[in-house]
Amino acid sequence: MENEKKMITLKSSDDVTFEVEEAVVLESQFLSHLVQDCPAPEHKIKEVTGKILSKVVEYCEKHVVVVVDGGDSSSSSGDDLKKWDDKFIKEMDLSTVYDLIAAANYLNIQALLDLMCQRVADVITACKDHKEIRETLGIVSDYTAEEEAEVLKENEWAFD
Amino acid sequence: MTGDRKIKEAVDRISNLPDEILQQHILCYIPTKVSISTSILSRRWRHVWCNIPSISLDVDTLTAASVNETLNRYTALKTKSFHLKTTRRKNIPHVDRWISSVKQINIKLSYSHTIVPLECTVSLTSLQKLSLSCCTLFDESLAKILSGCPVLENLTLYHCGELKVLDLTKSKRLRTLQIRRHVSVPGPTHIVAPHIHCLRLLNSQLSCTFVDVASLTEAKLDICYVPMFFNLKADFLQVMVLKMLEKLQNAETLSFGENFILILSLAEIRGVPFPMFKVKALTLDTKISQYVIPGMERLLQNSPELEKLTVRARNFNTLLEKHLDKYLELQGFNLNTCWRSKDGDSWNKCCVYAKSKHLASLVELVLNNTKKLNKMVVQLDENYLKFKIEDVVPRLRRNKNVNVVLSTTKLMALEKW
Repeated sequence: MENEKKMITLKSSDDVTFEVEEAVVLESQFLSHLVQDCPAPEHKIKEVTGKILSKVVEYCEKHVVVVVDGGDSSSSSGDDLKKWDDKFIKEMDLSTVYDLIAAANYLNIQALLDLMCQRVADVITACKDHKEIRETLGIVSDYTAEEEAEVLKENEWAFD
Repeated sequence: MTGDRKIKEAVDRISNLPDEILQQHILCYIPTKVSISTSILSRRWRHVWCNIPSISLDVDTLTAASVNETLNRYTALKTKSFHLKTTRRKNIPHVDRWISSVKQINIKLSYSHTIVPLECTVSLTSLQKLSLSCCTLFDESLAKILSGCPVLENLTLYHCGELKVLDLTKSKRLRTLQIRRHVSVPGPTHIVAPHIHCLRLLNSQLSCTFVDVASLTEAKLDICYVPMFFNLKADFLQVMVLKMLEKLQNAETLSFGENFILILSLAEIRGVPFPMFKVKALTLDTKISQYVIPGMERLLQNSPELEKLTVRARNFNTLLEKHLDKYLELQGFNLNTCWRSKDGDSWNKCCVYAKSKHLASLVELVLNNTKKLNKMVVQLDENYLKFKIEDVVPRLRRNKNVNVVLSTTKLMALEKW
């Protein structure tokens, strides 16, 4: 069994290498195309740092193992996976979340992208008003006072 | 929240994300109102919300003018979901304009408790899925709406009281029809749907006739019974249910609820002939008691092609067993013997008295009455389970052709029918 598993090496922009099973790589649409098109043993991913790539690999490894072949027990492992996801994002700072959004978008890992975006959405939803959204996300308004009044008036009901 | 230190450090990186990520992945997860309020964050954000894929407006909390204004700004080309909630009659004149302002794919429209005016016309040329709940809707109004939805594939009508003849002959692309009726909101009494493949009908105790369901391959049927009268209209229900069954003879996937099976049991005990079925996968949403056994036995015997059987012991509103007993007694049946299965086994009267031997008998009954079966799944509600599933296993006859799966579940009553 052991030697049937095909291993692939991923190298980050800062030359950190990760050896992963091929199945893990297939979680990423981008990488699975890359692996099929150029079957080299090592692939450099220039757009992603080692710190972020390690998170990506951690996520993909977790999610590839739990694929159940249509068994009736899939619901409980689905729960476990959800718990793992919750823990995975819980202590992550927003800066890492943004990096992972960029990485997941680039590598085309839909589930990871959704998970990270959900986290940002939760942060926004937890804010009590737009001022708090600005503070939390570090957005600086470049509206003039007149423009701001105009925008407020456009969708007045949304700012109650 | 995250504490002051973190807030001060916050660097605006979110504004650099591409629109597509902001719209399709972030704003779509937050309430529409909050999405719209992001327009005030900065110039970058002013129009981002205008392209979110789904929009949900609780019109009752808004003025018609503000809904108009908001929808005018909403420019998404591909709308995945458009949800409009209103309970006020004064909004009706506007509804038509609001829904037509969404140009592309709408997946769900829901007018709650609204009377849809007869003159309502729509043109939703990409609409695939339409759901109308609690609408007071006349046949002519629905026909008009449907004529404006030429590619509709999925139609859901929950508690639309005034419908009588649901004629879907002209909806040539329609494949799935879901209907819920209730005795207090009767809904369609005649279903003319020659193109549908899948029908889910939660009927009431009132009459419903399948006029044409010729293309049906999949059906799920049950009866939502409200005990309004002292005596069960058992004769009427048997005729209705058997007429429905006649129209399901070609379906390969069938699912019946407990009330439906109970009525079948009455018909079987009375010796009424049943049609033959081509069903390959059958699901019975029922607890295990003597009252479902005769109907179940007959269904199995008349389904020679059956490959998979699923029994889901779910707690759903059920006919009172004493009404069934009373009816059969009046018909001259001996209640001590009439509920037995053909092999003479007697069964538990109430689902809470089901023992491991009953479950073993059920498996045996299924094996004896099927030829091509290769899988049987029994899901038991934990609330009623008074024995260990492991105790059943030694009682089972070894059978190498059929894979039998027994499992326990909980909270199945909360699942949507």
